[in-house]
Amino acid sequence: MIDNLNRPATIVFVFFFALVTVIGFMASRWKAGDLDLLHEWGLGGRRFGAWITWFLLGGDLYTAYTVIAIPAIVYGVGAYGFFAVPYTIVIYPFLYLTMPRLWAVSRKHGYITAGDFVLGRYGDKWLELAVALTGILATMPYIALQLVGMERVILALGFHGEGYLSHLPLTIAFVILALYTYKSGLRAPAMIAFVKDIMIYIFIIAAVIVIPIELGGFGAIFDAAGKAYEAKVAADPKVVAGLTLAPQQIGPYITLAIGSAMALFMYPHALTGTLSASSGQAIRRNTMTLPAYSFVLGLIALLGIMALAAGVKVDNPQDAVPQLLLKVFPGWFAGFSFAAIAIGALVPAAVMSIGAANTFTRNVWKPFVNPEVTPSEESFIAKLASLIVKVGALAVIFLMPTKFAVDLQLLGGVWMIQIFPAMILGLYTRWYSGPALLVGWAAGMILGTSLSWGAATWVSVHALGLGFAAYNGLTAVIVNFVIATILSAVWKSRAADQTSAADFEDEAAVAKA
Amino acid sequence: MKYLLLAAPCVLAVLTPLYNGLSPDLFGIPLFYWFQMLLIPVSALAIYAADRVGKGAR
Repeated sequence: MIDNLNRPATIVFVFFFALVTVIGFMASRWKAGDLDLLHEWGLGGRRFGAWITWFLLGGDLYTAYTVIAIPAIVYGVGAYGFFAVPYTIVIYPFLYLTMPRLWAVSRKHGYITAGDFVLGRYGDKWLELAVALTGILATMPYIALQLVGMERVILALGFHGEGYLSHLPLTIAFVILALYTYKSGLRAPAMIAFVKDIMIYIFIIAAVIVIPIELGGFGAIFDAAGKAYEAKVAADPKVVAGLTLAPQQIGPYITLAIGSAMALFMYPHALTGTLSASSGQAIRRNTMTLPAYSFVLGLIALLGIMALAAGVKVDNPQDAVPQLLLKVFPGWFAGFSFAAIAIGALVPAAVMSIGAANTFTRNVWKPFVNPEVTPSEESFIAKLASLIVKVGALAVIFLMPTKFAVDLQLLGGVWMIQIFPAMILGLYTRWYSGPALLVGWAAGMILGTSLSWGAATWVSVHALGLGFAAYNGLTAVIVNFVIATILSAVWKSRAADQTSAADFEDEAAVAKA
Repeated sequence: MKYLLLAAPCVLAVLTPLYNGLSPDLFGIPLFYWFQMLLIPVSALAIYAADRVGKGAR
């Protein structure tokens, strides 16, 4: 099982993993608060300033799966995988405008999830449930994929097992994660994010300096990669790959970037990271500083091209980056890089499970099971739910082929974007009615899922006629939006609105008035 | 002005045909890659500028 272990790499890997475990348990005492209250356990008491939010959101959004999957697409097909870059460019100006508003209204009324806001704004329990279930459903496969990212680097260390034993290191890592998340709540990933992000920056800066030197500069790298793509296309004319986009890839590239950006901040884990900020201004500052991570993401995407140029040959493209690192770095530094990626899985997995747990507790358990729940019971249910979500993710890895988790995650994005109209329109107007938004959501869910359905494989883009193909999530949310608009015009809701216009202005804006 | 500053990087980012080419290259990096990478710090600066403009208006 461990005969082929790369010892220097494994020792460094285990050392860093042990370090973050200690940090995770100690975190419960950091910025101490009463962890029997849900907003303390699940939102860090909303006391995270601009710096902590930067590390937390950076660690939370740029996940281990991204570090493995984006360069894997680039390694496989080239330019198309780079959609992650325009995606992360589009997102921040949009966040700058919208998220301080959501933060302000959430602080005022004690909302901790998207469902909380939707209920307060539209007074519609069923829309709240729809929003909550969408979030939980989309998060589960996402957590499972973090495990996939972690498993790729554990395999690269030289660990090989048979049957269930092959998942042993992953299971140990995940049990540890579950325990300190249970104990420390959001404080644990926030603290671990410091270590993780610094490690990722060190590894990527070393990679983009060392690899081009070894391979003879960027010019040589892109030349070699370009030839490798040409060879792929020559070998199989059905493959579309290259250093630039083929004409039929441009529509999907643009719509995937826009659609992914719209979906991202609807995910419970992204909202958890945002709402834990201490002020609206802390969020605004983050929209200017988080692009540093986008730059790193672009560099990581380039690793796919470097792997191709370095002649890395793998059956599973997801092994391209780990194998590249083993090829160009000494063992101990490869181990350091793998630890960075594996710890990179822990932060989002923890925040995602907390986000899903907050959602379950507030928007499923409280309204539909026990409305009389006390604050300490509420916190306990959330802790329990965070455990269940993680066990579920682990079960996905044990029982299902990885491809299924990838397909589900792809669908997760298509689903998540369907709450965009209710959330974002709701930040500006109450003209839309709850039932109309609910019908729009249902239409979007059905359309998005059926467009993605394929007999052999699930697809994220669909031709819309006129020779133009678009991301299913975006197509479906446009239909969702049109239906919600038409229905709202005729179907007015008399349900109460808990919020007032002033609630949406955060302190900075209030101060100037 | 604030909204123009916020919108400009987004529009450039999705004007894919504009940068979907190999030349001119920068230190051997094709246009497609360096253009989008460069746009990331530009977008951060644009948001910063928009924030300053917004504060000035208050």
